[in-house]
Amino acid sequence: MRFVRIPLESRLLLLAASVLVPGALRAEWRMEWDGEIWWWISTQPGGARAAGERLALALHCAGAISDGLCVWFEHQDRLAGLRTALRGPRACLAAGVFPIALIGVLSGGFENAQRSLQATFWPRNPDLAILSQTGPFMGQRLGVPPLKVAYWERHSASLQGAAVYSWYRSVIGSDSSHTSDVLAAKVGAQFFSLLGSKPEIGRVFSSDDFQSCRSCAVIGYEFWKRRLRADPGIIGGTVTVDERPFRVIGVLRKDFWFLGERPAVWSLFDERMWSSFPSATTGAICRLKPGIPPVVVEQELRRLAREVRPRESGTWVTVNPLDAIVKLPITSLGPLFIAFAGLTLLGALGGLVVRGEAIAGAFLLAKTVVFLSVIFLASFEFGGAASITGIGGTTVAAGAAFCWLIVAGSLAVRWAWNDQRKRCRKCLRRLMAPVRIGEGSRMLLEPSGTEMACPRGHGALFTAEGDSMAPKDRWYPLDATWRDLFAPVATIEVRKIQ
Amino acid sequence: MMGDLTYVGAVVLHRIHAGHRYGFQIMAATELPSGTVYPALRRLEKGGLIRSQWEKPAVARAERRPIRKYYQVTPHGESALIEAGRRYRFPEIEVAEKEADR
Repeated sequence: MRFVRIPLESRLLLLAASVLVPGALRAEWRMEWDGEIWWWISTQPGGARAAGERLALALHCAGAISDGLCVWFEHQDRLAGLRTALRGPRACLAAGVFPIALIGVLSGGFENAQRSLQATFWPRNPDLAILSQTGPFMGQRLGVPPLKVAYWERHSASLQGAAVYSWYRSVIGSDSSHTSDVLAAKVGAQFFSLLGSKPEIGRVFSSDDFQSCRSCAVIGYEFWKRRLRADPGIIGGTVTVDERPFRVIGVLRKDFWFLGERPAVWSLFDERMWSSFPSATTGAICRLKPGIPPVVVEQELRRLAREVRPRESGTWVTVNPLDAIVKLPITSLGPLFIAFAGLTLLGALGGLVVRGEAIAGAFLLAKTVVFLSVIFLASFEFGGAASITGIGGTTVAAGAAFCWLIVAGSLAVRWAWNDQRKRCRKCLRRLMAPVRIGEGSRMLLEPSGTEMACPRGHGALFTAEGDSMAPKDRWYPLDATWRDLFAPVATIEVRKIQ
Repeated sequence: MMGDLTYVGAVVLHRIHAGHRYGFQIMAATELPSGTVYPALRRLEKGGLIRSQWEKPAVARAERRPIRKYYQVTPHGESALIEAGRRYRFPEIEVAEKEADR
């Protein structure tokens, strides 16, 4: 029954406040407020139709929000329900899925992992290869000096073209802003044409630019979109890299990808810096002539290198197909992921065979896979694995990324197993209320340890201390007579009333 | 709850004791906003200092208005009011204390 028309803004405030009130109390709560508002409106000469009265009524109704919050906080069962839900298996999996989604958003849809998978199963660039050098110390990988690349390009019979590349941190400025610590790249003039890259607007470098457009730059899509607000007028404009001005001739496409790096500004590798630029951070990409295998190219380039420096020994060039480098994170780190997940699968199968815990085993496996995925995807997307391999330094399978993944993966598996131990054997909720039992020094007849209970009262777990003679974990199922002890307070009160 | 009674709680409790029995009336008597009075009423009720009761629907229907919720001070609330009068030195509450002594 409606006694008075409440203005829309006040109704919305009441609706927002009523959401805070627990469902069981909501109807009564709303009835009291409706009564109060009726009184409020009936005391106003204009019946809350004038603007000032409507505002005053809205302020009055805003008090319903603090009242709703008060009822929400006073109603402890809701918080207890939330705490119980957070102990559940779904909350655990959600806690792992959330970072995966975040990594997906930050990495533009798992771009590096996608490219790596693509190169593993559907290789697209059979003729493209990365040139690097192997050093004398334990197969150490080195970059390639630009002078050598230029020499190989001129004299090799098996290369269609080659271009050096290198990236470094710099300060980039435009008319509107200055951005520090941004990735910039130096590339050979043929770099984009070897990769077959097309521009979003303007053009990319061509062979002639080395003579005619030395201070030209191509802008990365992300930088153009975010920092330059996708301004098409940037073509012909100027950006500065470490205070040196460059004329912008083009913007790369959104889908441009090279070894997972996203430099903001690409400029030409100046001949004058060839001898001074550190070769350790310089790589080279080349296109092989059709039908010539990388091994043959490798032999030819080594022969050419010896022609220039006959006495140089211990350092030799290697020709790695681009697809092989791009897929390296998957082919070298993928088996590690499978090994960790397989270890957990064995444990889950063991539990299934011994105790028939199929759901618990599935949860253990799902939890482990989700948390391993967080670690591996984060390493794929932000670890720069392909980039490091493509420029020298070390291979993914022997470097810091591999060590980090072994440590982090082991910790993830260990945590998943430990977490599983401390969950209810029936509902898989995390156990609560740890209570210390016995005395630490008593080893005989009085086992010491910690006891924890299921939030729903399905059972209790006794975990013995390391020096105790009691079995490590012992699960005591509790029957239905214990349930009232664990039930929400409101439920018990309702039972008493009934 | 008695020891935790706030100044606002004491004022609201006193007004209810003085005969202001429903939310709007209490707001008008205390001149406090709705966002202060209603949470205070919830806390006082939860602490057992007041109790609430819905009026009979027939009464409200006869007067063509929504049903009203009335609040009443409990004996526990009266003791709390006397204690609050001592603590806050609130003249009107002291009056209530004298009334209670009689």
